Amino acid sequence: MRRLWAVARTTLHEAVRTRTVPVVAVVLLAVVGLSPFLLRGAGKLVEQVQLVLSYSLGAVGFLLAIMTIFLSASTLASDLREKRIETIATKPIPRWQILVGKWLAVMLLNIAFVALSGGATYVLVRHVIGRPAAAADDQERHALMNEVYTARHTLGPSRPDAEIDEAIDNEIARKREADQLGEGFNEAAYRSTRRKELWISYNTLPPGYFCQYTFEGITPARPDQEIYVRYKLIDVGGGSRLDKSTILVDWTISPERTLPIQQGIVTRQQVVSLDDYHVFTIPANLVSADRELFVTCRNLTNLPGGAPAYAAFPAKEGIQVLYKAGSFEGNVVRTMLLVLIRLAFLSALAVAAASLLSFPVASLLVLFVFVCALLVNQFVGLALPVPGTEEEPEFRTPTFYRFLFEAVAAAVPNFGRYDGTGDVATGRLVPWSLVVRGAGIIGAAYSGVVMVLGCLYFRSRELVETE
Amino acid sequence: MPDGADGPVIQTLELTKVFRDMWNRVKARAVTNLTFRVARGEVFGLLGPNGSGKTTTVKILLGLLFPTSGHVHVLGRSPRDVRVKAQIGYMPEETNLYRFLNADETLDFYGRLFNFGRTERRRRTEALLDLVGLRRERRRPLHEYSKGMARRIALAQALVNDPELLFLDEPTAGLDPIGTREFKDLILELKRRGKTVLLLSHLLADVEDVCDRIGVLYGGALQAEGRVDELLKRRDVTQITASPPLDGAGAKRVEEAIRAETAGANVRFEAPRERLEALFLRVVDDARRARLTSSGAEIGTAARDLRLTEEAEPARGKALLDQLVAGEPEAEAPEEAPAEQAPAPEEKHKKALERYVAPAAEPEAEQETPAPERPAGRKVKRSVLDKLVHDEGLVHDEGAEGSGDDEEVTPGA
Repeated sequence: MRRLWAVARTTLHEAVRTRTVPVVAVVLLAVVGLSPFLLRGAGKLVEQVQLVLSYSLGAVGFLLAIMTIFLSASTLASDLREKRIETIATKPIPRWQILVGKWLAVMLLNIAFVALSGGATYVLVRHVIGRPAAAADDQERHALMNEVYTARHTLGPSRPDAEIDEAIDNEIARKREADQLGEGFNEAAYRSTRRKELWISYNTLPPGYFCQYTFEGITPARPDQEIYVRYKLIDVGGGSRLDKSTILVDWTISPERTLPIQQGIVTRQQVVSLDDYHVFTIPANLVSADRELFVTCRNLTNLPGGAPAYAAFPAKEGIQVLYKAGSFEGNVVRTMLLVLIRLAFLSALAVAAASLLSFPVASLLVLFVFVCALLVNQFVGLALPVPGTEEEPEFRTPTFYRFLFEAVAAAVPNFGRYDGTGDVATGRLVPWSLVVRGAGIIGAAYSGVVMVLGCLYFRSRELVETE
Repeated sequence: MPDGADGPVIQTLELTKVFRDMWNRVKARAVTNLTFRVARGEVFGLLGPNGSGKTTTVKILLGLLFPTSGHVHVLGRSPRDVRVKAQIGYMPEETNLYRFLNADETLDFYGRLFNFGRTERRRRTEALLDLVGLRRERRRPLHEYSKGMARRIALAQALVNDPELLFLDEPTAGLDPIGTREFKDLILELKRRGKTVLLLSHLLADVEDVCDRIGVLYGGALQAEGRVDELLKRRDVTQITASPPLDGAGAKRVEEAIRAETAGANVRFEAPRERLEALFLRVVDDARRARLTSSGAEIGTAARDLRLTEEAEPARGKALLDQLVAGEPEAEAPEEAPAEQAPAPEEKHKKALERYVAPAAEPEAEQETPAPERPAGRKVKRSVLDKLVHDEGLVHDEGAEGSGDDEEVTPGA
């Protein structure tokens, strides 16, 4: 270990004395410190704080990624190019320790940088621009504390898959009886299409109808805690009214499955705007002993005097339940840990790449992988079926591109899935499980594989470039 | 003692290295069927013009390059074995160390690579800085170093582990004569300590001064190999030197004596020329004694210490090397090698040191100045010499430091 540490130590010396460390530290502080200048014209304090948070953490993560790629690639590549490796590799240090030592040094620097920039962002947001005293009124202060400086667990409704499947089974049986199934009937494709259609229709809310959602596994810390229901309704056409910007609904919240006609525990009637997210609060003691909560929304536009309107909850994030499950500080820490995990992979890849490629080629290659890793989440969302479901992607992609996307998605880690920046800004919990999964998949599996490959190659290569 | 102590330290068998480009086409045959061995305690010189395969050979021996075919054993093992690396030192042709580190940090770094503890590293760093004469520059970053200073720190780095086997690639390239002399003295001192040295050079004078055996590489193949004295010995001539110089009558009597021994011998009398290196070192030494300071690089302590000058402590340079070898940090600190020991060092040490004393260091020893073409004395037929001494008493050997009446000892004889 002393040998490995010797390499790490000298790499740290290198980073400090070639002025990488002071320059990066100054740039990071500047990026964080100047972020409030972006706020000109931004709206409420909550939005300003959210903007600064997401910009600052995003920029820091990006900058550190670039620094990590170039530093990791250059420290090994320059040892090779300037032949310092000849005096190091002829000493009794196993070659893999040279690579791991370099990686270790870069990661120690990253830990310091991440702590520095995370701390600076936190102080700036919590104690300077977004301090509660800066809020205009109590309502704004309340929003700040409960929508930003918190870590709320977010839960989507359980999909009634069993009921949908049962309905499809019945449909197919009916059609088979009526001999309506054609020659080339593809049952799997039919089921897939119908599942999607039925889920959409489950989410639609014609006049007089209601949607009931089941939320399972709600575990509020205290019974007197507040639970937030966040939803959005969109107009889906139909109806005859002129005003398509609002809708009259009523809500029934209950710890057991019930019909809105029956007496609900909490009922509220309200006119809400369409296409906007709305939040209302309910007490946590409405959650059943089985940790279930039933939320029912009824479209009241069929009532006498109302103009019938057709609305729907979007299939994705149309309705969610949120409740506080951690602190803002903890959320920031977990987000920064996720940043570190991504940097660990980039550093391992850059060191491994530099063990066989020159500095420019190695760093460009890792930059390319970095961009792919950032975008792979979008690829997955747009072009590939959502993992674990048979849902069709939003766009149908030609087979060749689909194949390409699949190859890229398998080869590079999915950085978007292990990014807490957006959640920390909207006060949503970045769970430890995400950090642990990220550490396992990106930090251990992906990084480990590239590092082992790099070490194996480095051990078996000749260390002299010959003219 | 390392493994393979009885066998050769370096052994290659039919070693061939072919460089290929990325399409696997042959770019160059750097080494072809090279077979040679270096025994323990030898100073072996690998000579050859640029591009002759010297550096490729050494890099194979160091495990940096892998042979295309053939076998290599260093200290009885594969050169890629980490255990081999613990016992070797390598000073590359170009000084490629971390330029942002200073000498202290550099030696500390390389000490760590040998897994030495803190006190051990400190002890070795101190001793090495003294040995190569960089104590005053120890805190300067290496990018400020002159060429000579850079070579010294490169050497110190190679000696960090007190290696059994030392590879020196053009160690004296670009050095001034003083630095060159220091390097050569150091090589000889290492040899005296039983170390094996593989020296790569195309500076023939240096090779001649320190090497026991040489191999001449050309086109990747060994063209000649053998003991330096064997290769260089002129078997048709005997050379006699005398001090003070013979007058005409004395010369006549010597000539007669020789002719009586060998009828029709071709006898020539001339004053031997001093070597330029000896002259240069003497001039600088005199100047230093006159307390003139050089505006150039500081003269390292190594040569001063290894050579027996009046003001130097003769045991000091050796103490420094001893310190590197010693297990106990305080056992042989340089401060504890007092000057009083100097006049009476161990007999064996004294003899050895005297053997390596450069002529310039002792003005009285000029009589020993070798013939122009050889730095070390030529072997002389003892019978002739004995006869001269006993019959005529012409040769006054008082100043000859105990070697005038003996066979001259060439280094490594």
